[in-house]
Amino acid sequence: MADNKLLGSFEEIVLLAILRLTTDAYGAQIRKTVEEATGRSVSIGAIYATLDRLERKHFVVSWQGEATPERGGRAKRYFRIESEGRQALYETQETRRRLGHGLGLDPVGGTI
Amino acid sequence: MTMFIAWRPHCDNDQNGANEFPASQADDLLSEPHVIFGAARFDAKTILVIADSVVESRDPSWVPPQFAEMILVLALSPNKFRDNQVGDLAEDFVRYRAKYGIRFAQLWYWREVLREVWSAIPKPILWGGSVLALIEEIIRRHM
Repeated sequence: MADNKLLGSFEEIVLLAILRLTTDAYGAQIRKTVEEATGRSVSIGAIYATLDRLERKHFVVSWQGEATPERGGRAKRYFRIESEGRQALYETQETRRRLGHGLGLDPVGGTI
Repeated sequence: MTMFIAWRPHCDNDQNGANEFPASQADDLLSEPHVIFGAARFDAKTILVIADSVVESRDPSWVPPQFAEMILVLALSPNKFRDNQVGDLAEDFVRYRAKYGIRFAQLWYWREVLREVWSAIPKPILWGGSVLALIEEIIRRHM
């Protein structure tokens, strides 16, 4: 039960990116946000594989958007986080916080 | 895009004065809403404007390398988000093209395509050789 609600690291990052982008959360923007936040290059395939997994778990919902000329007439696919996704995000972050509490993992060596 | 172009009636006066659609019929055709795309209704005039803008914007230097795009489509073919992914990369290509120039954008696009091709290859095929070698080594040690 509980383990189904826990997210992998990348799933967590992608969900946070969707939350941050609010109404503009589609593939290219999610990727850009993730790359800016992590400082690492991420393939668009990795983003969509994660989004697909999150959608199958009912953590996000997606729908087709508009097709624009610079996209060669191909539609965007927008994503929105569902209440189950918010719950999973909360539980994951809480688990991390509980496990990390008092371990002195912050960069200056103090406690979290 | 195909839909837009296929929709375009040949109503302009060409050099020979031959029209596939007489002007009066074309005006009638253009005056009513005809195409429902998603939740929106577009009349034919709007479709023509969109078609023109799409065709104009597909200047070869502003579109991803066609061969690379074809490989990408093939690599992603079983994927339900394929068109969205190809569109996202095309959008990023335009962004990089505007910011860093055509050469950078093309190299970037090829890198992205190769990444997708690499991830589309079933890994057992790549590992197959080394797994067989490992099995052979184990058998050899126990003989």
